[in-house]
Amino acid sequence: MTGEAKERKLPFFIFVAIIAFLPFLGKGGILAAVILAAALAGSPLFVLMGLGTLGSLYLWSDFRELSQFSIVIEGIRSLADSPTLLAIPFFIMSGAIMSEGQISRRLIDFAQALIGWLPGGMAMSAVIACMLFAAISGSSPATVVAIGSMMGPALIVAGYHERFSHGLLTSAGSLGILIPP
Amino acid sequence: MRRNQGTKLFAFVVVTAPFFVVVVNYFPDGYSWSKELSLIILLWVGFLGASVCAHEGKHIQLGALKRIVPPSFSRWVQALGYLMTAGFCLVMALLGYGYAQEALMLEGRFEQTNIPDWVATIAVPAAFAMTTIRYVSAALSAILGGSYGATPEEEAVLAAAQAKKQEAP
Repeated sequence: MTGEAKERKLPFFIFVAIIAFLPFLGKGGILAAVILAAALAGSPLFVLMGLGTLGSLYLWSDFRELSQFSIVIEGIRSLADSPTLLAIPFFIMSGAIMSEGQISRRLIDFAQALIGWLPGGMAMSAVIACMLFAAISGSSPATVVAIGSMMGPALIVAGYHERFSHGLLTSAGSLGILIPP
Repeated sequence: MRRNQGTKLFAFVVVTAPFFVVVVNYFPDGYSWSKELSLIILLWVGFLGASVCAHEGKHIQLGALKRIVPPSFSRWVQALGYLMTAGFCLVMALLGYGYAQEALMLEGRFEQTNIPDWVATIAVPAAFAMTTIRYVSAALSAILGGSYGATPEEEAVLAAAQAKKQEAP
């Protein structure tokens, strides 16, 4: 156990040393060091992106007062002016309605009847079901919600690894954008 | 059989036609305010949802880098990460508060709904303030060995470690 802990300490200290060295490279290094330190500490992705934005504004512009950075909030607030954003919740709602209406169940049954008998057929039928549903609904998030809510647990019960199942369904959901209309 | 179906279809048209005549002539073409209201609600739901994600530890993280942290340091590094996140959220809340104050002074309103502009703007500082409190709590919890705000995976690791400790004596 002690040996294992020692083994794991070296890459950590090397990484910390790199973070400590980066600021000497200039403004870009400072920004990279801050972002890497936050990533190492396990800060969420939105913080890394936000730190990148605020850091860039501070380092490469004349912004010095806190109020000047409200341009970032203006960008967030402008979300309430973009009607295209409404597509996401409404598509998810349509997916939920289709799911309740048993459309997704029937598509899954059809896909399983088609190739479910093959080795690995369950996973392949999940991809086919996602493809069909995404082509009908035209939305990747709606597909993931509708097919994923049914096929996800079914795949795990069938012995597929959880990460594999979730990865498969989320990537298969995006097939819809390739299929016309 | 076909004749029977035709009769049913005719009956359906006869019954529903007056309904559509009423709908087309006496109902409004569309609710012009619905889009604005939906967008305001979406903004609020999105930001409050982000705050709830902080509570449940469901924000996306870069897990690869966290794996190189030695187990003996992980509690402190985790707390540092939460504090950095809380600091960022606090800055965003302050910026949002200043922006909301400006919106309040300008007395702007949405065109269709006549809802004051600050109703949408205040969602940003309110949600970031709540998220700040959650992440400060998560940092304290991490220091004290708790699992508030931890991802489901981290919670499982903590539970396993605690179970091991209990089994040890």
